[in-house]
Amino acid sequence: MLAKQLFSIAANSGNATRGDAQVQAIRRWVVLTAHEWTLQWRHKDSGLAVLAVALLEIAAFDLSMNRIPRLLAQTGPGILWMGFLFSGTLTVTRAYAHETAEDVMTGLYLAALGQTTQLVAKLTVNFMWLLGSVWLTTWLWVRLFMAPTRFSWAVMDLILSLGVLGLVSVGLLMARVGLLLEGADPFLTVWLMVLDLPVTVAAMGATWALMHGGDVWPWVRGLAVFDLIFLTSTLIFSDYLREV
Amino acid sequence: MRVALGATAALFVVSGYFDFLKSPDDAWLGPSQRIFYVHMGAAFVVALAFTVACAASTLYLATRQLRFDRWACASAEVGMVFTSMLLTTGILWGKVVWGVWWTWDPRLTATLILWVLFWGYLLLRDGIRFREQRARVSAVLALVCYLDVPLDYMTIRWWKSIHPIVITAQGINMAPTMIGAMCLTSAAMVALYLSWVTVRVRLMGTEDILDDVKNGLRDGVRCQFWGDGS
Amino acid sequence: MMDSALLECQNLSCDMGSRPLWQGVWLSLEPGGLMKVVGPNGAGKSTLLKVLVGLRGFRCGRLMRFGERVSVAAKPDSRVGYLGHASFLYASLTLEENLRLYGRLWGVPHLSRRINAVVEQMGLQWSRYERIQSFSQGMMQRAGLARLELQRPRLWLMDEPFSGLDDQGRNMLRRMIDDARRRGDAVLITAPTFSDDIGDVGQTTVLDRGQLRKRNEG
Repeated sequence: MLAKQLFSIAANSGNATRGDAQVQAIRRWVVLTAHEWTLQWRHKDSGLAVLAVALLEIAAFDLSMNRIPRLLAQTGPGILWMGFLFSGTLTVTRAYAHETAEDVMTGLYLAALGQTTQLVAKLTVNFMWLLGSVWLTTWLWVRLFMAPTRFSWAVMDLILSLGVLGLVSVGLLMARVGLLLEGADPFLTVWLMVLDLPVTVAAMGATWALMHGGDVWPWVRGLAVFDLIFLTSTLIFSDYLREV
Repeated sequence: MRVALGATAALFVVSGYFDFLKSPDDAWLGPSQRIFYVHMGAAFVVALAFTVACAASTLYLATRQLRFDRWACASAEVGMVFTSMLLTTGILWGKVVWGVWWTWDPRLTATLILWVLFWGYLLLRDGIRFREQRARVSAVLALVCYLDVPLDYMTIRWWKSIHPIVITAQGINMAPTMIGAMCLTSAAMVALYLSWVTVRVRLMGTEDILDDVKNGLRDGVRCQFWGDGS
Repeated sequence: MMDSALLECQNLSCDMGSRPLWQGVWLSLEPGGLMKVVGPNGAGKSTLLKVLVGLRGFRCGRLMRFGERVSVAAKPDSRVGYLGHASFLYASLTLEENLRLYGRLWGVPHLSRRINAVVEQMGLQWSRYERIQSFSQGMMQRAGLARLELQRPRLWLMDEPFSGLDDQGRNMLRRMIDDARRRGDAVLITAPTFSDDIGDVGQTTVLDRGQLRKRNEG
């Protein structure tokens, strides 16, 4: 439904303004975002992977360690973010998987579609999907294991968004690299997890501080700076990775 | 090249004399302090090697000349050896001075991550067959690694500033002979790094030319070289 | 006459890795022109097309498209249509969704009407809402042609377009090429053999052992 609406917006703006480069770029971004949304909706893998890992974690930790009081509330941020790191990395590195069959990347390139437009569209949609499932997981964890804890969900949303943005932006750059590698993708995923360490640690620190009454803002600022660095380098470097 | 290698060897002999015979034992740490000379020299080369790798990668992306890719790769390879040396001497010395093999100090952790990331860089490089493509991808990877390490350092430092710090390093007052020994060892290490990288770059150029010759022979096409490998 | 050529190569050379693939290629295509490049497997026909469309760089020579010189690192041009070995279509999307995506990216006017016409022309009405992954090889080729027809380029570069098509499909493609030439577009196709699947061919050239020659000279 959202895809349909976006499509109609794109179609209308297309008729009104032909030639204006900036509007053209935005129009293409909207077209591609809607298209990426359709693809994700058809497969649903990136959202489901995060939820599956989260359920696994919840089940395993609940079964094995719930007798120790407050343990899961204390270790929650660490466990959650490690889970997000694993499932997020696994799904984001597959972001270009639909384009590998039938050489779609070449077709899109010949349609004069810039790398950046495609990257930003993928970034938008992957961010939305991951954030949705990450939010759901966090909510579930707090509900199940940390019932008496009180904290601001607005700040939590900010932390989750910044963390997911960091994971997705480097992840997409490495997904582009993965297209050029022959058979080394599993290693690439593991390597990406190491690369994501600053973002993960900062997000963990922020979540921990929020849940247990520490100072959140240094962490959030750090996280924002990391996001900025990763996002900028992804946008700059992805241009060099075009396959010719 | 022979002169460079000879000079490197001579530097090592002189600095070895200073490290082990000329300079005194540390008043506080005893003879274990002598490992510091190697440790410091290695640290200096690690910083140099990865900076060179990063600069060469940037130059490759700007100019698309394969010799910069060779420099980046060679520098990272040799840098890996020195990072291993840095970590090993650090661990040994840490056991003597701090009483533990390893502590998650920002510098230690960042070095370990640097080591892992550049292993990944070298491994992923191997996964790409075509020369130009490999050069492009590895230049991007090297730059991303180089950016990532300081971020790790900062993160861990924040982390530590929130958690109590269990172990702190004591400041070391150094005698003049010790400073001399340190400088000499660092110079020897840098000389070793430079000669090693030069040899490696030349070897890689030769490998590329050999590949061209083999391809040419296999296809029965007259061999022509327009690589810049020399 | 030379100025009006849609495509012109002067002394074009290309390397594969660091060894020469073909050298000194001269060719010229005027509006309404058709050229067929024949050559054995591995002669570099596909690479020639990739260079012409701008997917690959070349080593030396001059490449002109629509009277403008194209640099070694060419930018894609929506007036150039390219049919490769792959269909460039998303396997998990339907034909309709794929055409709609490309049509929007190209900015095709009256898109729904055009898609109707193209799908009908290719005989794919019954597969319009099917996912591409369920298509047979021949249908895939038709889908790729549908994508090209939707783009309606001025310069058609098609890599072995007749492979995998049945008789009906071949007729359809012949009609498509004729229509394009009548509109004043130029068409370049490659083929592995000299079979006369295309009828009236303007020029046939042979790409072999790194050289492009006229047919009778070879």
